Amino acid sequence: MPLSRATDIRRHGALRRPRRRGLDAERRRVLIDRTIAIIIVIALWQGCSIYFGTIWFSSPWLVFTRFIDEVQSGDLVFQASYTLSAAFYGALLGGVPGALLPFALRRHPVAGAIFDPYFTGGYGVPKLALAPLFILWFGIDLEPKIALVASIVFFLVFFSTTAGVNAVNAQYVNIVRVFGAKERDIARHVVWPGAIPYVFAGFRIAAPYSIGAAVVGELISSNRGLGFMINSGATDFDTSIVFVGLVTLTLLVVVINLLVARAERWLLRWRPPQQGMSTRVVGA
Amino acid sequence: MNGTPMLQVKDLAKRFPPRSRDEEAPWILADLSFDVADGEFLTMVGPSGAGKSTLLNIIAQVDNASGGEVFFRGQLIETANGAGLNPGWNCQIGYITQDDNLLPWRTLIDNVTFPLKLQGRFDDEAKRRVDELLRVTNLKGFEHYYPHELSGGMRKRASVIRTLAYDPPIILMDEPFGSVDAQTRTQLQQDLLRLWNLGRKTIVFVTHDIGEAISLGDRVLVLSKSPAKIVAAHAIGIKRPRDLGNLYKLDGFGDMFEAVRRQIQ
Repeated sequence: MPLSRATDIRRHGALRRPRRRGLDAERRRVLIDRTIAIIIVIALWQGCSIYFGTIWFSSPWLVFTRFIDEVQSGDLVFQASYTLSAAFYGALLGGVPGALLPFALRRHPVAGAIFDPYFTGGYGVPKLALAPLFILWFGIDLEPKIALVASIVFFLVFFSTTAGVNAVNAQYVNIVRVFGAKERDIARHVVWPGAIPYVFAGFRIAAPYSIGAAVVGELISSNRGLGFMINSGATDFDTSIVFVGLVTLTLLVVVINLLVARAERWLLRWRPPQQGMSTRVVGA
Repeated sequence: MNGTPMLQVKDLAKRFPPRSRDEEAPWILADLSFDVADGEFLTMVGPSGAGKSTLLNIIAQVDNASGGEVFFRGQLIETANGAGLNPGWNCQIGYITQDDNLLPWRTLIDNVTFPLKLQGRFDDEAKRRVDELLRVTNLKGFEHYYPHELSGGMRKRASVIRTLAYDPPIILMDEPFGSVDAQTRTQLQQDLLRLWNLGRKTIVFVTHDIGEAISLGDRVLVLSKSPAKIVAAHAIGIKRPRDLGNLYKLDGFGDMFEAVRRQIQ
């Protein structure tokens, strides 16, 4: 049957996901409007700096030149990498157990029922209030910041993954049992792939919080990191450096989000396009 | 063909747990008995909600019975104890469900070969077999598509050959072509008969479509409304291979259809 692929697809009605290439009118419009919005924000900022004076409200130009200076001196990279490593190790230390524990609890429902109130309670504790305790326990280096980030990320990823594990399709479980699957196969081939979108949603929500928690840890007590930089800048009435810190933090979160979104799109390419976006939830 | 039937169902009964304490749960199945011979294509037709899916769930061991016995090749299958169920009876009983239940994160080929890989039987012979099945069902060229990229009919065919690929001696089918359009449905039925001709497996095919039951089966069992009882059995003498598009023109097809329709009511 020497049919071309195109004929084959038409005949069988198979659908490949249409891939968009280039800019269509709608996307161009969004880009233009976005640029206009950025210009307005920068103009307002400039207006504020003129009205209040650059001591209180550094101007966009000052912040920009200071940003370049700090990058060239290597100081900004040093501070940012300190904050980033606290956020990264914290997200790892909290996120990995948060993503794995729901699978263990699926196999041991009794343990799950026993610990459930503790997880809910732990989720409810305002973690930032734990910062002084972590400093007391772990000192003022990287460790208390990692602990703070981990305590926040763990619960976000844990609850999101638990929702995914509970949402497992019972029909899939039954059919793979009929095929001869054991519990281990079910966990690996049905529950885990089905829960991955939820794991991703958890990490996506957790990403800005992990940066935020690392900064709060540095604000409270540190001699390094973007939080320290912002704090000492404010103490010295050096608002340029405060804004440089804020801009850097924002850029970091944006880049992390982009990386997570890209990884998600690759790993979850089996999903129909209309479900392609992970849920953007504001929580914690 | 030896004397022992492939499958025997004796006095099977089922009701689900009551929803509240003072409520008596209705019986879904009551005193249901029938045999399926080796190599037989048995169809069962009954109204929606007659408990057809429940019956197949019990035979496939994904649900337990409230009473009665099921024998597979003369051997008693544990049906009463929910915890002791052995779904698929060690890969001996295949089950093709109403939904295609292809795993959305596996490509077509990974879905079709999945049972073979689970069972550690994905050898060269299995590969050849899968290749043949893909060819017969016109799925070649689509091996690396994900289920959401395939049409409904293609997903159905993939779901059917996924079970045929690992070759269980008996296959249960629960209205597998229920949710596709009429034309695709006839095509799928024709494909199924062609596949069945390759190996003459034992099949128990459940449907609410009278025409489908008559055109596919060697024998049709007519089920009553819930609790399901067998109200009639018809041997279908139409010779094979059957041309499903013109079957209704045969003498006696219309009469048979009418008879079954009356018996269902």
